[in-house]
Amino acid sequence: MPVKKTSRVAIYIVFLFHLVITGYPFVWMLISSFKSNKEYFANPWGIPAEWKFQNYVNAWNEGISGYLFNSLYITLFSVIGLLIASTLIGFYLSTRAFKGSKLLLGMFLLGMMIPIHSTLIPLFTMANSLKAYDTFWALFFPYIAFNLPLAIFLAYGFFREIPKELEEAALVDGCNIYQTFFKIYFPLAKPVLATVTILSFFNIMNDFVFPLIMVSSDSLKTLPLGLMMFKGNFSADYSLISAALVITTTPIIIMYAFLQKYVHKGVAAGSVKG
Amino acid sequence: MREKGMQKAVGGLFFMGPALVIFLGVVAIPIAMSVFYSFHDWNGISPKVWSGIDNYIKLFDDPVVWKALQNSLYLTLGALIVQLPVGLVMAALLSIGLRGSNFLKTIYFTPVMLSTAVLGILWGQIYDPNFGLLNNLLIKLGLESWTQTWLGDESTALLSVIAVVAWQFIGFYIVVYFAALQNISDEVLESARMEGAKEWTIFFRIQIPLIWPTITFTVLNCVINSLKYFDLIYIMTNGGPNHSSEVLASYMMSNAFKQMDFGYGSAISTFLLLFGLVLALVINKLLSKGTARFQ
Repeated sequence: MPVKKTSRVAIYIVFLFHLVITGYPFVWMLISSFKSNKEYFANPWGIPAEWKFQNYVNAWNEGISGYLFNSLYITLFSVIGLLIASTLIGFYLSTRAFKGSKLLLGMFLLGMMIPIHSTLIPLFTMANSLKAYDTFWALFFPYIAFNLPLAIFLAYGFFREIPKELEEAALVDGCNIYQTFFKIYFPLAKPVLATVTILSFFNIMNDFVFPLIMVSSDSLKTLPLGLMMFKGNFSADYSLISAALVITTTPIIIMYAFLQKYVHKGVAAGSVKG
Repeated sequence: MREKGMQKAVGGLFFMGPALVIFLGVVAIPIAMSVFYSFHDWNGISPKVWSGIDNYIKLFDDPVVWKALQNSLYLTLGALIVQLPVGLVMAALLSIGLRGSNFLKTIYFTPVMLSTAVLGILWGQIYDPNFGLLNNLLIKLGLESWTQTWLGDESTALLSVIAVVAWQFIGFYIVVYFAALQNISDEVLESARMEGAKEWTIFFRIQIPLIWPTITFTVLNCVINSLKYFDLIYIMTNGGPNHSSEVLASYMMSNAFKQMDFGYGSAISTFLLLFGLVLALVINKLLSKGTARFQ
């Protein structure tokens, strides 16, 4: 579309203004992380007189590396569990519709409206009585459950589009339902698996509430809660905290940079459904 | 030709079992338990004592609950007045397709991807009354009298958090609206231009009506999310000072996990759940009327 030169300049000014507002806090965070604490206070706007990489070494060694590791492995296993549970049921509901299967689907979709906080007190008491409080499982199951609705919605939608003939051919060739799923349908579902993985990866990596309520030992705290602990321990050391923030942000930004097309698609897909 | 009898039951269990068990165990049953707890006097340790609707009477008499609802309303208004319109205008400008638009959209969305812990701590540093960027900037501009203890003052705490929430989520609405605007076929816009329609007429008379379902979704999303908003409030102000930035979720958390009043905490969460569902239904009804009008 042709745009007049004056309006183009005006539009770029708006873009630039929004860019500064969005981006400057991060630039400031990055620059602050290389300062000594003294310089952080004395010279908040300038670039560091001496670039201190030591902040990163300290933040890494004082707990951030452990929290990062916890985040990655809890996210990894939860996403795997989520992919399995959601494709299994998505496949079954789309190929073996029965009386009440629509209702079941509706129940899961209603789950998207449920605020997490309404379940926290019972989850906490349940975890306590099942001796699951402060274990891996106290995060694993909630992460699967709260990401299930969207994942099932996507898997069901995908499998329903696959022509029935494919399954009939598999039956004729002697595949039972398990072989049909694992050998044919599951491998076909790669696009859904990718979308679900991406959306739930960020959801779980960034979750703050469940670690806050469900675990207490350092070996289970994921980055968001770990950061709060870290901040509590080094509350006066602002530049060290900035370094910890940068370390926490980096894996997410790298993932996002590579996957932004899919992330944006996923966000748009999620909003059409609403 | 398909599974029968026993075989069918085993198959159903195998395929649906995991998701059903997890969802029932983590979402459905806890919600029922929450309702059950809300009729009890219980500190989480000693035996539960049936107390009827006492917790709900307390809830409706509790000024903090009303304060929290009022704050949720402000959060919602802030979102509706700032996030959606700015997001829509930015999306419309980006969809013109000037060079760099894609890159800018990626950057604008970045805060949405980051954890609220990072954003809360970062903005806590920016709002810091002594060393923070904001006060520092105001002093540099000669506006020393405008400096505040942003998060520590009852009159500014909530507003300061609302600003950060808006800063974080504008990018989300940019991406959502951008995708919706892309779905409008160029032919529609071209023919409008051929007829001599001005750009702003196209925006208000063609683009907005055509993406009305998306606008409906975002309004609903905004209201529901504002109602259950928790993370940044907890991290930045913890509902304080003096409950001035309290929302239902943060008040529920402090009642349950600080005061150890599980009964009252459950009443608040039940109220939060029901209020949210009813609100969602009402808004959906109202907005679908709007959709019908455009079609």
